Amino acid sequence: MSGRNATIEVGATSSALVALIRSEWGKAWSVRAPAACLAGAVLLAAGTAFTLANDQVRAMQTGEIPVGTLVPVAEILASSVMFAQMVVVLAALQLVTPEYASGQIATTFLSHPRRWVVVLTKAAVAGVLGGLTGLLTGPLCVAATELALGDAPRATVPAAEAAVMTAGVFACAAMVAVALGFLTRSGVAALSVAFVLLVLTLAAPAATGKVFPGVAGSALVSGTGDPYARWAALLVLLAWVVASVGAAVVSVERRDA
Amino acid sequence: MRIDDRARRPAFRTFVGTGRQSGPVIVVPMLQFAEISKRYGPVTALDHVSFRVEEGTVTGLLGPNGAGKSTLMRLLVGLDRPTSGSATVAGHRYRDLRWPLRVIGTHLGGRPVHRRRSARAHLRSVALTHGLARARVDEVLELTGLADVAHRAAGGFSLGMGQRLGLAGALLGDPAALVLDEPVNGLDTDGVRWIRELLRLLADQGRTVLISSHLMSEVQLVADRVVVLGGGRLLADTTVAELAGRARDEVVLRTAEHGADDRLRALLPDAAIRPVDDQCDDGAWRVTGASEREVGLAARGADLTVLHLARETADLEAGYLTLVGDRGQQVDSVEAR
Repeated sequence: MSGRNATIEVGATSSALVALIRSEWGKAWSVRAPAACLAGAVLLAAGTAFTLANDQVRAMQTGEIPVGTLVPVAEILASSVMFAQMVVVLAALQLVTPEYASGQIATTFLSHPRRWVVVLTKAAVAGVLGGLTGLLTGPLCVAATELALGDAPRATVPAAEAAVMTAGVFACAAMVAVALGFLTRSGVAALSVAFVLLVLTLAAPAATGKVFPGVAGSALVSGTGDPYARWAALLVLLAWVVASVGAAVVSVERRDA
Repeated sequence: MRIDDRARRPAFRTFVGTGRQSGPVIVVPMLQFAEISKRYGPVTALDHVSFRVEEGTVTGLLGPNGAGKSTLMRLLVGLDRPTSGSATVAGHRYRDLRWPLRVIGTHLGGRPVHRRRSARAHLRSVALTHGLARARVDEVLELTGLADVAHRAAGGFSLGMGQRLGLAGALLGDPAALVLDEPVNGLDTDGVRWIRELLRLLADQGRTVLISSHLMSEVQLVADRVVVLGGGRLLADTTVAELAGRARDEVVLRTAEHGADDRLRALLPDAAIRPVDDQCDDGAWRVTGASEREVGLAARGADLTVLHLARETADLEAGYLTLVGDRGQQVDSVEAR
């Protein structure tokens, strides 16, 4: 009964924001799916890296590639990360679309009625989860690649560099995924759009493809300068994050929950 | 939670002064709807509805399906945006409340919980948003009878358990006001009795309650006031007693003879007499506008053999039916306030 004789507090406060972040962080861990997806992303990326590196070794043994060619570890890393980021997207969507499917979103908005803060908080939580997963995934992919290459000559990537770049791509993918989840309110729809944006655009003509986050992510991780340098790739990715999260905020604020 | 004397608890009463010491002081009602309208495309769900719920009262929100009861509640707590007008809690828009769950608890039916999350984890996540202690989660689990199943995933809950979980969430912040949409739906007999006692307890504690229900008898037991909606319009905003009183008591007379109503009418010129069964004349009549004694004397005067004679007291349901009509949609003839 203590709270009921107090005056009613109005307006935003940092303590309410901190409380919301703690709640959303706790929600991400109180069901198994997000953690399972993130673990899956790490294993998938490392497994892909090992397989791709092994293919290079085989190609050298069969003479497809001249013996002594430097194997580009950065490109193997980029391919593996691009593949695994869809599972990171799946993990991030777990923070949003099941809430719409179950109606929990009403409880969330009742607990914190400033909806734009909810959208930004979920995006931030997903970004941190994606980033942490990336920090683990990058070096693990490099290690898997090195393991498969044996003593074949390679142009290697420092573990720290692989960690930071992979973290950047996973964090951005997770935040875009949260935005798509809010925009579509459907897991299947959000995943489909994310697949087009992040994966299918890799196969698009270079001139068109380079404005999409898939190509930008690949350029950020590989650092080959194709089609642009890392700083430009990072700008493209951040632009997608800002635009999609911004659109999600506008949409969620406007429509009925 | 102790039961307090309502009169001694001016909790959350918000005063809006004029700025001058001598000026009038306006007491802001706990819940207020001002000329609120909501249209979904061509459909008008609510049409300029205004009423207030004073602090410490229990108000039943009645109306047929599609009358706009749920929409009204969603507008109050900011889940839907009004097309025009406003809804406020203690003078503030819901979204401006810093700690909304401490002011007003909401349960809009259904099971608004992630299917894979346990009941306890769900309530803890809600509690975290308001900095509430873990012990409070256990308290509401105990209060709603969910302590034994708190570890289970909410997706496996029955309708009744879902209702209890929704109520637990609404009570979590120990709010001064509660908004409950059809909380009795899906509850078994024990559950209905439990919620009746819970609502009485909450009312005795001086909390403001707005509750919608199809079960008139439940509303009659707990509510002080009733608000009736029909076709998106306000049909009545009155006390339970006044609405019940709108229906007049009836006397039911069953006789051994058929076709005796003309003889009765001759003896009871001021009373309305209609058959109990409109399909066939089985000698049973409903009489309004006459007492049991008058009907009994008239039956003797008409030389009828009386098999059954009893007065039926008008209740909330009868009053409600006089307002919205038996088919629930005959609302146009009723003057909205």
